[in-house]
Amino acid sequence: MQINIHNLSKIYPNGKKALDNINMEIGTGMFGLLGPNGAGKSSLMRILVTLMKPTMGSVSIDSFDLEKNRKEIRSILGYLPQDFRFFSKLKTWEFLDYAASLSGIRSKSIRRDKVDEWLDKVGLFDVRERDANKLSGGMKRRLGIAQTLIGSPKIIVVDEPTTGLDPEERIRFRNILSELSQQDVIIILSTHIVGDISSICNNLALLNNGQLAFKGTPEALIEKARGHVWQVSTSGYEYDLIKEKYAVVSTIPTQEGWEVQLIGDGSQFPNAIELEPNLEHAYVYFMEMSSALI
Amino acid sequence: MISIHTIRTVAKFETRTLLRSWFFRIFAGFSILFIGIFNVTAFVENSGAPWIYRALPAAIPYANLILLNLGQAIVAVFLASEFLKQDSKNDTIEVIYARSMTNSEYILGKTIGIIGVFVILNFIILLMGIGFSFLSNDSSQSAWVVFYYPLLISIPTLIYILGLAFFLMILLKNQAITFIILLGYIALSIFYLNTKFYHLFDYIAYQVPMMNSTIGGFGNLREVAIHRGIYFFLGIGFILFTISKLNRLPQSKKLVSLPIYLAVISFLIGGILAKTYIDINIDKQEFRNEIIALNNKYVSFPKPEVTSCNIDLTHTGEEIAVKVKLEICNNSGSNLDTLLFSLNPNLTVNSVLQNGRNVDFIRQTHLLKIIPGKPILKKDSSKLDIIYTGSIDERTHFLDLNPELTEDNFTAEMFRIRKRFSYLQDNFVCLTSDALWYPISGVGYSSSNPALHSPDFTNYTLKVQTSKNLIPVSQGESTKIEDGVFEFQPEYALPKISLLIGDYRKHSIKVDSVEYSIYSISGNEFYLKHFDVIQDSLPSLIRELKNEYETQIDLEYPFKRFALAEVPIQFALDKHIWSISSDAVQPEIIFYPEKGVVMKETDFKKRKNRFEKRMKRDNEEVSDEELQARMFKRFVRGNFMPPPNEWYQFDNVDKNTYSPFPNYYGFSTQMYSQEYPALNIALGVYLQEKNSNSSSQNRWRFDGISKEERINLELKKASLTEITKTGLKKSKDDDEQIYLNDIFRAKGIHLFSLFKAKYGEDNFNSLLKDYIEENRHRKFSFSNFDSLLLAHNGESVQTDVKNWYTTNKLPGFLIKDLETYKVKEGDHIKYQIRYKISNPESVDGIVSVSIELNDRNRRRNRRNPGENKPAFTKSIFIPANSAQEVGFVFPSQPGRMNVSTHISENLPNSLVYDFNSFDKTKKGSFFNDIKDCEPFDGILASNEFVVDNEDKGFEYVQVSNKSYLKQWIDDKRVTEHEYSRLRTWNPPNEWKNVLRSGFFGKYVKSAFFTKSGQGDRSASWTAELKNSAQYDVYCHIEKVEHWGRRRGRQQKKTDYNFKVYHESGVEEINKNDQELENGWNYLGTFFINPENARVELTNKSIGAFLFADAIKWVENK
Repeated sequence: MQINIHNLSKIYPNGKKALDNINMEIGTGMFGLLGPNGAGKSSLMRILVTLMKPTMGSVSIDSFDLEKNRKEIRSILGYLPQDFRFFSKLKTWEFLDYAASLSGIRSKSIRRDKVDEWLDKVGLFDVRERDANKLSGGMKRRLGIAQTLIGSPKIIVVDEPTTGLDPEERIRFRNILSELSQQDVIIILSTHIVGDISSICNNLALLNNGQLAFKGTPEALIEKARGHVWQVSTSGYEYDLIKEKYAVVSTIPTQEGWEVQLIGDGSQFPNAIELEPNLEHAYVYFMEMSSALI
Repeated sequence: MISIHTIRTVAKFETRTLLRSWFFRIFAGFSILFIGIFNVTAFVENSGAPWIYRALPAAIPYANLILLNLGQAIVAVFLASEFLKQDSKNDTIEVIYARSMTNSEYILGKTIGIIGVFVILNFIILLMGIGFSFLSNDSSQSAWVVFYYPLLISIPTLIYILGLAFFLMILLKNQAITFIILLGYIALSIFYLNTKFYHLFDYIAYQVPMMNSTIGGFGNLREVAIHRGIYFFLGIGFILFTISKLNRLPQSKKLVSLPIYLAVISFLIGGILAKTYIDINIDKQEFRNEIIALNNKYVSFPKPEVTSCNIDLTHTGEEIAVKVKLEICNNSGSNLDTLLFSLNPNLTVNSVLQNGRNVDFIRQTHLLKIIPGKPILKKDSSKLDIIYTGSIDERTHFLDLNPELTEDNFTAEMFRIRKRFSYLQDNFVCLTSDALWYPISGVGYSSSNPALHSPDFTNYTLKVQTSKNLIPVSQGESTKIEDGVFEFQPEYALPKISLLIGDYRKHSIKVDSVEYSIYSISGNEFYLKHFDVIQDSLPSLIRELKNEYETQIDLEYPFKRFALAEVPIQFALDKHIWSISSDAVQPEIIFYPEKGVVMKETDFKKRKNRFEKRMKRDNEEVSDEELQARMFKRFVRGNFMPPPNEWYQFDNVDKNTYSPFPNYYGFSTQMYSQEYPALNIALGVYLQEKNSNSSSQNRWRFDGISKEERINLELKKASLTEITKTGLKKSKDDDEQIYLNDIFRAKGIHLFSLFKAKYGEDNFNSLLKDYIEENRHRKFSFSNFDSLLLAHNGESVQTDVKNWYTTNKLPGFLIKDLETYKVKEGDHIKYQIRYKISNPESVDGIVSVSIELNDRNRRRNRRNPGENKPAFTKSIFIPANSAQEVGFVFPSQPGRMNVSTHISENLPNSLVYDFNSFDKTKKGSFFNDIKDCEPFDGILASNEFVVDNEDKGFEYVQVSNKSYLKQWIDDKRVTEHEYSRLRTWNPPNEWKNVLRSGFFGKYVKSAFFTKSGQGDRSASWTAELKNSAQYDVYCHIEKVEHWGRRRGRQQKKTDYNFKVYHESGVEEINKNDQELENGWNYLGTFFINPENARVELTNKSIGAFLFADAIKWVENK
């Protein structure tokens, strides 16, 4: 199963260009969509889940066209939007039951089993009778993921799922997703938190200002940043200059001044040490690069 | 393809959500509580709830749903707009929107979900109604029929208002604006639109007649279904339109336009239904007009007289097959080459035979023109056989009623009930002569001679064949030939016959050779148990009541049977313009509405309880038999022989609706006059009311103008001939509406009362009685009647009758020199009242004087005010341009005199004189007589000048404190009459003309009335005096008691602030209540020139209200 995105653009009525000629393929497994706020991630996702029409371009999922075959595509979709907080007056299990029923599970008993199974999986079984509105933020997210997955969708789109979650919830969430990614499904995970992707995604795309900045494996992205990540020890005066000139990834205070990790050509500094880049360095590097280009 | 599963899923969760909404829960809770209390109240004995609620099984369920519908129509708007608002606010909705379902499935699911919740509520309320209704032993119908109500009332309303709310919400994208617009629309349709255009805009169905009868069903199910269909389809259209506009990408490109197409189709169906609905109503009128036009064309066409009519009728389902044998006689005065009959247009004539031979005939709408083999010569007779089949078109009924003044449905309590005139159903038939179910010679109502109605007195026989389980009811002696086959043979010639067929149960008793029967539909004999112990005393009770009635009217019942027969509640109780009773009164039979629901005193259970309570209170011990006898009498008196001031609960029923009187005059004899057709009703009314005390002294004291006075105003504007031709205008206020037969009634009584006064009461009445007896079972002509009067009294009444018909002049009465004093006769003191009464107009007049004695021990009988008869009454005939001096003497002190001026220029037409004291004692003889005196046309002396508020010298400054909206609304309101109601508890913020006997006026005793204030309103009187001289100035004051609770200013009594203009300036004069007395009050003496003869009054007063009446200048010579 593969998603093909071809020349995809989205311009809002106010003239804002949310997506600018995006071309990419997304295969099975976990696919990360990285980018800062306003990069166009949510727009792309909303187009993918048929909530919004692109201004130009096309998207196909295997032989199905997003424009022409919404019925087929919606039937294999699972979607968790960025905001998932307000519910009608339904209990936790009822909301899940509603989602299950809409995903096409007609048998009441099968639905009941599925609902229980997913409530158990996401750790909400004990609060199944509680009003969905009265769940904590983390619980609501878990309920969100459960409703996304309950119909066994082939394409799962989750938008900024870990925002506002505590570390424990985030780990739990990641685990659920990585477990799923072992199956023959496409999971598209959008985030601006690099850590969410680094551990579980085998492919990613980087969006910045509506453009595709990078597409490939996390390793390839890291490789691109090699030679551009430096650690410099510096005093106070120099630190201000560095901050102006370079993208600073981290700053650790030392006895002499600061130990600064920066992106760019740091070899000119006398005590500079080239660092092994990680995904976060690569992300910052690319953001800097594409901003410079724009 | 639409997925039912998805729709059900969305609906199920929407329902669940809604059921948990507090808004809905509170609404539902209150609805159930409120309607529950209402239901309990309707069924609890002694709650005072009208009988109709318990009597008709459909009543409570219908009432429940109408009440609920009113609420849910508003609540649904809120919920519907809320649902779309939530959708736009609720982020979880994207999760749902991303699911595989079509927009149609989603919106339909949502709609069904919302409607489902309301349906549940409706069923709870309906079942509650059914429960209460069928708990009562008085109900007698299967419950299933009431399940129509949610389908007809709630579902279309909900679908329409939900659709409209969705539509507006999608269009306006703002819940608050949507809500405000819809609430405005709802208010507009409830308070204004729902009565317009045949109730087309009544989406709540509050005005749509849907009462179900146990006998006749809904009566108009097709029309109601069309009406409700309009809203159902419009609602569906709006919902479909909402689907196409939903802010979600459609599932499939192919079907994206389908909802729009379907919406357009739904709107079209709605539109077509609306057009059909209007067309039905317009066609009804157009068809009636067509019939009337034909009647106009043939109204003077010579017609044969039907002397005998033998009807053989077979009833099969919704049709009748009839063979009629007619014997006709040509009394028309010319040879007849065409025999003209009226027959219902839905009846197809198969063949016509004259003396056994086929003859040609032409059908034209309701006309049947038979072309005889050869012309029927004058005075010749012939026999006709007419064979026809078909159904009945109800539009032939009541052609004489002005459609602007008559509605096609009526209200009883909170129920709208469709008027039905005839029935031809499988299990029930009701046919009156208006249905033209048998051929009637000539044509009926013609607008060119509206009052003309003179049916032939015909010897009828009727044979009816119907289903074996049904019983027919008609005039004459009934013979059962076999099951389902009956023959009726009336003993006498009748002007019309009627036919009822139904599952009747008959109970009868013969008293003094008259058979009294009641025919009730099986299951509706609720009354039996209430009269189970008076079987033996029934004959004497009936005899007593009959004697009581016949003593009153001084005529004897001319038929051999008298029956009450049950008809559906929908049966129309309209009155023809030539009749004062309704069409429920047929020869020998009175049709009573289902279980007597709109009659008086049919809630026997309640009546019994009340009697028992009263007996307990009065420590009275009464046997069951006596109790039932009292109930029986109350029932008979209330409905068939009511006192003049009996009160009626329902608008369409009055004291004559079920009056048996037409049997005494009308069905047994009639007066016929082509020239003055209204004479027949005039004579009838006179015969009926000649002995009753129809004084208007008990009239509602706050009425601006009484019915009789409104009639007088009409008669002042136009003659009887003109009014008959042009008809009467629709009054803004239904209560004030007067009809043509009201005018005939008033004029009729007046004419014959004048004859009575002219020729002597006993002489005239006995002459009349004998003549009527002589002409029993046939009609007589006015010329014969006139010859009789000529022979007995030496003068013809032709001129009087002509004047009566053509003049718009009215008599007018002036009273002066009223004296009250005591006269000593030996040891006894007697009380003398004397005065002069003049009629200076050119038309004869009559007044009725009634005097109440000031008997302090006499307790006013609140319960039966009608029995509180005045001590003395007398009618005085005052010919044109003449006057009478009148004197009455009483052994005890009279308290009040009431002079009813009947048809006259006088307003109010009842002059009331309260006698506080008979201080003076005069010696000499009594004057207890009526004698001629010098006529006078004014009551002022030659040196007296009066400016009344009706005169041109009177002016007022109208500064209104009304809000712009109220002013605008009031401007739109056309005031039918210039006189307002005198509401002392709510005086107007402007000058309003009001009537009261105590005010000054030549004929019109009126004054301007206003709320008191700070002098912002004023009135002035300017006299055209001839001389500059010393004048005594008087104001005319009538002290009117404040009615209602007194607060603040209302506690104080009115004082008056006058400004009297005179030669040397202005004098301000304040007169307080103590200084003032009723009548003329002296303000002062001034030297006044003609140019400054003026008096002003401001509304500054310490009282709550004041009046501007009249000012008098008396020249000192």
